[in-house]
Amino acid sequence: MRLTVILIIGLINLSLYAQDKLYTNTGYISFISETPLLNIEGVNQKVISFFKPGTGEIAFALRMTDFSFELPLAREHFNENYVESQKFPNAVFKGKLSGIEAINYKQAGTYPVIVTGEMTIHGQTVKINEKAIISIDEGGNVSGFSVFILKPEDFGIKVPRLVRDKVAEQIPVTVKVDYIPYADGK
Amino acid sequence: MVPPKIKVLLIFMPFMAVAFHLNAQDDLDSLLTKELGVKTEEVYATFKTTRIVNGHSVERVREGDLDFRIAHRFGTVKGGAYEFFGIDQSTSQFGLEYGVKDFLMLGISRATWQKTTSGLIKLSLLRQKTGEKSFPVSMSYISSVFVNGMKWSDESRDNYFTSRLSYLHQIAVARKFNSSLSFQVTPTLIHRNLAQGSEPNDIYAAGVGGRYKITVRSAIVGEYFYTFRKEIPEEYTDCFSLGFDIETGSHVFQIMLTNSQGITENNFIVYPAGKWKKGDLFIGFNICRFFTLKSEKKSLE
Repeated sequence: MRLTVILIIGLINLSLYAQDKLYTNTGYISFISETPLLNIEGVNQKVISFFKPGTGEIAFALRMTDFSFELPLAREHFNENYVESQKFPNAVFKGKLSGIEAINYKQAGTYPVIVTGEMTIHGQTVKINEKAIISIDEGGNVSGFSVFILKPEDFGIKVPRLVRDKVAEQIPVTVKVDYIPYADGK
Repeated sequence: MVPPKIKVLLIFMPFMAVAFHLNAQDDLDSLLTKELGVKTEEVYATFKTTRIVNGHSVERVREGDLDFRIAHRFGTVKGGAYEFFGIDQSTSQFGLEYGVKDFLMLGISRATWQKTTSGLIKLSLLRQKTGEKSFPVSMSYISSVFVNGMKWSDESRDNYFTSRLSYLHQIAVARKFNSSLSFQVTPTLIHRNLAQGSEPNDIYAAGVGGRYKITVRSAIVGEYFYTFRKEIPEEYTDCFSLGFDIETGSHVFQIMLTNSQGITENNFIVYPAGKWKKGDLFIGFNICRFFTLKSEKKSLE
């Protein structure tokens, strides 16, 4: 009898691992370049992300051309002059969350975590170590949130002197993702 | 107590879990790639502005954007230092061009030559696309009407308003080969309601143009119009122009060397007077200043 219980628990455990891949393809990432002369805000709402609560692994990918801007010209300049989307169409992040042991997925709450990993934009990879928040709502849905600063020059994105006063050197980036369980083979 | 078969299973269970786990770890990369997929995307910025040098490029002004254009062509550089290489004599064109819809651009302008006022319509018909449903070229249709504003030279004859009009029809077909290199062919028809002397009313021309980007914000541009010129005085030749584009945010500067002082198509395609071989050339520049009148709605799905 006891044996059967152990077996069942073991199998459940197995199946949990199999399903424990959370996913979104409507993740939100925005950035804003603020200068006294000009504010430029780009919003991408088609961010793809995977998160595995079991291991803390987390990954993001987005298309640079999916960023929308208030000024149509800003979008063209962003893609053509700064991130060079034709050469480097995607941005990718792969990393791990630490501090996830504290998360209780069955109870609503917010948990501070640390994200570490590698971010690739404009063909250049930079190590990232930032704070983030994982929140669980009443329905057990998992969300992620983070705000951090990126410097275009770290990614080899040059801002010429001519437009130096219109493009910020430090760009705050906001990430919001609402995860759903990932169904394989869909 | 525990039957041996089950014992074996129990021993293997953690390994199975680990194996499954490892398998799952490896696949995040391929899952990202799979979910990102291949999207069909329009190719943008085949050229920096709506002109290659003198002539139209396939580009249009985006919906809601207004392009204020100032173009100057100076006198011949043969004038030397005394004429400041032609810069003492300037002809100009001022224009406003507006993106009414994503595929429709309208413009008005005024040029020094023949005191020409012109109206412009440009339709973006096909767009180059990459990805799943790729398409190799972009195509635009350009049509202008030019109104000659000069006083009639011969007041005694019957002078009709329609005699002041000439028309331009162009199909621009362009391809952006990579982020640096773009190329365009431009079959052209110019119709003048009133032609001078024995010149034909219809002038056919074939234009080719290209751009090569040197840096992300600067490019070398070139353009040549072969004009089928039956019965046009031999002093005129084909228009060939070389230019340099510099982009600074919402401005684009184009500085050029061309053998035509004319800025409107009914002049520079038909009557380029300078000869490259003889160094009889004109310095010119275009300045475009973009104003966003209607901002793009953020797609808040």
